[in-house]
Amino acid sequence: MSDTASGKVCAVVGVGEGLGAALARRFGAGYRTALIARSGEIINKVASEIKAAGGVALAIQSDATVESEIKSTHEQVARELGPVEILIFNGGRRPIGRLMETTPDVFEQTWRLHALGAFLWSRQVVPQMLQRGSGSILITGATAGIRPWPNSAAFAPAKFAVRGLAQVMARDLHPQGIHVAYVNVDGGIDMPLLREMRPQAQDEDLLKPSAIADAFWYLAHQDRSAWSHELDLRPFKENF
Amino acid sequence: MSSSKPVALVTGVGPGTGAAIARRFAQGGYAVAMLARNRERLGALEREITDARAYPCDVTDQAQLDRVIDAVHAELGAPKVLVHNAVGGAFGNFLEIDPEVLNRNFQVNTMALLYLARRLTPAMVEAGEGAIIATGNTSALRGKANYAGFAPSKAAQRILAESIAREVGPKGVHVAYVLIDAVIDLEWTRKRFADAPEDFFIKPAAIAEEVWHVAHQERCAWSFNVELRPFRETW
Repeated sequence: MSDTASGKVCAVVGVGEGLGAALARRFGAGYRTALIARSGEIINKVASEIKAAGGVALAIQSDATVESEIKSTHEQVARELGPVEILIFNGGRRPIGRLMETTPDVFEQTWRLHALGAFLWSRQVVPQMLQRGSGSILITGATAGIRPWPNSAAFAPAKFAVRGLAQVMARDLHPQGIHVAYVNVDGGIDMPLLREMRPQAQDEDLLKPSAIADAFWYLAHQDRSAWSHELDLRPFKENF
Repeated sequence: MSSSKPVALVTGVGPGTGAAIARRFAQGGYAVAMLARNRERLGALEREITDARAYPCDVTDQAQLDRVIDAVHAELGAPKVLVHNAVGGAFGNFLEIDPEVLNRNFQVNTMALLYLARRLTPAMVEAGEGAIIATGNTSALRGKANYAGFAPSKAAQRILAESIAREVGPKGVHVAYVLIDAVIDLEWTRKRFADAPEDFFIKPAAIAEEVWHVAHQERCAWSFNVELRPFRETW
């Protein structure tokens, strides 16, 4: 384990096979890491990898849209690993559809996962961070939170909301020692699902999950005299 | 002393951010070309920092800049990294300032970036790698009343950097804008904000670390806008 962070706890909420797994691996190399997702498959696999490499990992199945589940999950993390020093909110799921193609149910579920989920999880971890006067909350964002395509009728409003929440929390919590940042991932992430959807994509058209995870790691360890609250990341070839 | 080391060209090397950036890149294995008008200060830094060389010049004078870039090429090699940190500032509302002040600041902040980028990017594009980083501040985003002679030039600088980024990014050259929303920890700012606590200031070394980091991001995950401020700063 890295001696810079040994003993501290990182909770990664939203661990799928792409970015979430890379984030868990990156932080699992230095932190006691909780891997949290609705489905058990990936979190159990990645947690085993982290443990096999000598780290401490805890996989918990939990729905980030249900307050009671979030509360009990957070209690379990705090009890078994310790107080959360870094919360990474990486709620995934990106429905594609224009206004008339998007059902109210999809709209609401997308907002619940991205915006409400980040809000509820932050409310769990912030009190202990305030007591210590330190901590980081890092949120995965997307271009849709800044300049959406017309087919993001559910996703863009949810990402705008979570970006707004991130700015509110940054202005509120930075002076109290808690670093909040929104990472705008402005491009396709190299993972199996995206490769299926875009079979013509070349390696260099996509962001590597490990490179994004490096950026999260870097943000989490910035000197507090020079904090960033928002960071954009894109492949060099990306049109922006 | 043509060098096998990669070369970083840094403008505006004064006692604060510029010197810290020069130190960071020298420590990271670069040969650093330091540009500034103040010959004495630059000479002192040259003696202090191994692998950093002083190139006194006024970046608004295109002929001088051309000569200096030729000398850097001949003595160190083609720069892989350009950090445009030179800055011309002014204080006063639009009625108070001498209009020439804005013109002068525009030359330092924006036109010098244009000259430098036009000279240095062709070799970077040919090499398929390189980085151009401009350091800015909140004036690049917001025109306050008393920054009429300054903010327009920083906004123009940021937009120019964005234009360059979109042109050369796909060719492998990373352009980024590091926006420093803070009072930098310097001798004169310590005097001016004598009552401010230690953590009111941004540390030049922390800025330099960020510039170093951005200049070396993996190209599948580049940032353009990088904002930095102390944790307690109001924004």
